[in-house]
Amino acid sequence: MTYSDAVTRRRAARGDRRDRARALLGWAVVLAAAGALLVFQPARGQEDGDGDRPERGPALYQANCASCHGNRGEGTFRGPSLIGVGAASADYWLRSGRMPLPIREPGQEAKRGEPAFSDLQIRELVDYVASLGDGPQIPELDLTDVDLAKGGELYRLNCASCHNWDGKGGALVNRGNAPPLHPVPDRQLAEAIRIGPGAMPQFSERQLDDEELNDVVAYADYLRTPQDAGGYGLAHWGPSTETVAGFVAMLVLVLVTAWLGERRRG
Amino acid sequence: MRVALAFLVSMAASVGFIGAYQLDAGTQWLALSLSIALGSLGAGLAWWSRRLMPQESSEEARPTLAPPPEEERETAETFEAGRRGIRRRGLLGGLLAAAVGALGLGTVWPARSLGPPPSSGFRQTGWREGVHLIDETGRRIGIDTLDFGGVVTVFPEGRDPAADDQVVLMRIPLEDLDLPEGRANWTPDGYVAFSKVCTHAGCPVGLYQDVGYLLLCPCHQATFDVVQGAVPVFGPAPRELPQLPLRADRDGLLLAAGDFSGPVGPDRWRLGEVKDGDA
Amino acid sequence: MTDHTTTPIGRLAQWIDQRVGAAKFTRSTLDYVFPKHFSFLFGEIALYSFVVLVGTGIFLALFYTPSEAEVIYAGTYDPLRGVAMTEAYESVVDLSFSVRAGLLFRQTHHWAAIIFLGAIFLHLCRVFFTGAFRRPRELNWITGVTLMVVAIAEGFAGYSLLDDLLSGTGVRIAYSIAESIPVVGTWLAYWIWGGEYPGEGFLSRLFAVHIFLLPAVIAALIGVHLFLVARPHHTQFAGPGKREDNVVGLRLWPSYATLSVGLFFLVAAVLNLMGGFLQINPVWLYGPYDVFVVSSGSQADWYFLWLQGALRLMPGVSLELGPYTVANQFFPAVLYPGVVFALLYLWPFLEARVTGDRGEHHLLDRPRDRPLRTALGAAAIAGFVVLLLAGSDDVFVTTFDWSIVPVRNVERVLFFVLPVLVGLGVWKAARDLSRADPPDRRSAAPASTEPTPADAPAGSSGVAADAVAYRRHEVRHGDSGPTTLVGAIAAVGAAVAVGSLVRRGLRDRSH
Repeated sequence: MTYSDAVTRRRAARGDRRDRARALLGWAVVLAAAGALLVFQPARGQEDGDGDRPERGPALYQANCASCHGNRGEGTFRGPSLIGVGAASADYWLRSGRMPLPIREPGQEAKRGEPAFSDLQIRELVDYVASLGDGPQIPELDLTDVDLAKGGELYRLNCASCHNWDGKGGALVNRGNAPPLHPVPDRQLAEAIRIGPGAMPQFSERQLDDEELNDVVAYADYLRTPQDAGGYGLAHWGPSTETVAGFVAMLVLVLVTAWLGERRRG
Repeated sequence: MRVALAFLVSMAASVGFIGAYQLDAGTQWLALSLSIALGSLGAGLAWWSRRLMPQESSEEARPTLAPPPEEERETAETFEAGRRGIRRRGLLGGLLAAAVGALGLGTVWPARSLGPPPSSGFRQTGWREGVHLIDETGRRIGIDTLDFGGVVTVFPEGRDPAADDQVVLMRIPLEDLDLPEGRANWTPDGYVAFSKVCTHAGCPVGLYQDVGYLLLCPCHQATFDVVQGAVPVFGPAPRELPQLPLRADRDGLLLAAGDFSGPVGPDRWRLGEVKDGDA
Repeated sequence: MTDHTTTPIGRLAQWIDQRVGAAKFTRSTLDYVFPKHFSFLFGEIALYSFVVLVGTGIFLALFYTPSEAEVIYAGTYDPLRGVAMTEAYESVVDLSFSVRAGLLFRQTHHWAAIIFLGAIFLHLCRVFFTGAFRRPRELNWITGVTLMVVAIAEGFAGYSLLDDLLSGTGVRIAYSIAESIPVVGTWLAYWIWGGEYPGEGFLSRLFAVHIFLLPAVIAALIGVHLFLVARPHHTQFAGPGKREDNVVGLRLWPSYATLSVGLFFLVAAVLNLMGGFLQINPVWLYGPYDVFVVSSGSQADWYFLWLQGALRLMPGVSLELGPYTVANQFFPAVLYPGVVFALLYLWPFLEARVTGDRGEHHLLDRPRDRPLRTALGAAAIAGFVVLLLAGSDDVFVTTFDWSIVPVRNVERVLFFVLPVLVGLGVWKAARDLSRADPPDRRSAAPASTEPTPADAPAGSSGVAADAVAYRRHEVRHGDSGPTTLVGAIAAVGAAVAVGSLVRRGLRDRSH
């Protein structure tokens, strides 16, 4: 399967990406595929030859990353060192499509987008970056038995002040803005908490243990489609959209008065 | 015809509302049925008024508000006559006014029960030399709790935390810190602590930007530069966040090395006095 | 006394009348004439919203617990189960999830509060721009402005009772605002909250204020307001046969009363529909309040949003007076609204002083015929809109992925510049429109300084000619009032809608 085949297939599988649920399903497919590849890897390795994989990671790195991060990940004036950032960091930046930057200049804001590499390529790059020095591993999420309420408390204390009670993000000063969490897959949420990408602070295992990490990710996941018992959620903007809705209602009521107070002619 | 139909629809919708309630059909069905009931009743009444009731303009004379001069004069004279009688007993009148005033003051006086006088226990925080830092679950904070780039909200150990006790603890490489004179040994291993109560309107300064080391209050976007000693750099805050001096003990646990560097919380009238008292 | 009536209602009315002597008053009330104009109904929308507020409020009060005691939630909303919260917040979550029709009435109550204040504001604008506050109605203007102030306080009290994260943040800010008042601020804050923030038993005090004290004040003021409307009778726009000394329109009984009751049900229907289909204040998503927790995008309801905007636009300075400090938040949150409301209160007297016109006026101005007043009012509204935007700028900065610093600086400039531009534009437009009209259509162009003779004979000579001229004008121009107002509101609404579509497009692209 070539790279462009992979991209085409993934795009086709995701459709036009309007539907959040479908996007999630897409990610589930990707992750399932990744898991399947992982399971069948020994057999594949024998077929392709064991020496194949470790060599492709460095080659990809040299072609796509080294110009900013240095030939051995030591960093340059264009980009930070990758020694010791760990697998979690490489996985987060590559899978979120934030890296590589479209324009390779310092000071660019890395935006979320389609990943530039296939799943296999990403895993090879991640392995290579992780081999440069010790750093946070990709967290192993388990959302089967979580305490959603605990997660909510942790979310409100640690996340809501930047990402909003709804996860739609918030305004920062001089650093772009805190991004919305809804399009971020669970695993990347967990990675971001551990590594603190960009202006985001990081949360170590001593501060937020793995169980708490599961809880807080589960709550952020819940916020994708929270319970809107009261009807249409007005995009969860709070009193700002409520003001707009009230404004429209006022318009309706003015129309009612225009009808009632109309001067009958003739 | 239309009116009758509207009333019939309203009736049916009211029955529907009761049905929706009995079936526990949910907020939306309740709202739909009740608003149809209300709306068609309203529309029916409006149609009735506009179609079946007199719509021609009526005219009505506007009443005169200013009274005729002689009535005004007579009223004034009646009042004056009585007042002359009162004025002859000038002392009594004065005493009456004083008594009513005193009674009024007396009955309003218990309003003081509403709150203690502010002088008692004004702005004492729970921080003093030797108090451990704990997080919201009660875990003690040690020198290894945060990585560089980490942030956590902490409280003084051993007391029910008051609103003014909250502290935001960050870990920043020592070489990046550029704190004011005399705070060099307040930051063991790069741990820096500031009051989390915004000096503008008192919201928690919960938003920490690890790049640029800025603390930001989400209420009005007051922004503080942490490495300079949390001085305001943008937004409405007039004052820096007070810093909490820290030290580490032999077990690697973090403790307060004293009280805050300045008054906690928003500006207020007697801020100057508090500043002297605290520092 | 002979029986004039045989129906049961008639007999009851007679029984009462023979004991209170209300027949004459009742008859004059039934004959009361209401001029027909759509803008005269804005006040009624406010009145009927208040009725809905009282009705739904009684229901809510029976389920709400004004207590700060800590409990562990064990109700039906899963993502909060096991969370420590106050009894107050718990009772609101239970009301929303476990009480049938509870959420409907809670949301209807909240929307009714928003529309109550919206209608008050619109009504205030109508009275202002048509000069309905002039003699002899200055007292009623003062009553109305007071009603608005009390309604704002009542709205804030209700919003704060829920003790969710958003309202708790608002209360924290309110404390710092109370505290910022020079000399008495700390005492005031201690008295209201019962001590240092977060105080002792604040919610039960607020509850008493919200469900008893302020509603009683509002109800009493509404009574005074209506009495002061009815005493000199309604104002009316100039038109055929409409003079200073008469009122032309529909009689209360039966046509107007039926229409007005119809309006009540229509207002209730709209509010109820919103209460069931537009989610407002989802406190279960905000979470319970903790003094050390805050969410970005924290906003106030619209009638406080402008103060939040003012707080945000204020530069970071405070005033040091020797050992004392005049706090930063005092200027935007106490002084500025203080000046705004003082100007509102004094406006009828200020205007009379400037124009020298102290006569009685029962015929309304058209806004275009008073360019200066109209321009000043429009300028004030422009400033208000800038503050509303500033109060929610973090939301749209996030939405459109802009940057807060330049946006804030632009707003700071706009707050001073936009009112001037809008004022000048409106002044010119009003003057041009007024000049384009035939002279007979202008309402009292040169202000008369003499009181109108109230005892002028009815149906004086000029009326017929007036009527002809009026009708001619009517044919040419039509009545543009409702169209203009609805158009203006719709334009703003459309702008918001387009904005949200653009936002959605941006978000889709960024996925």
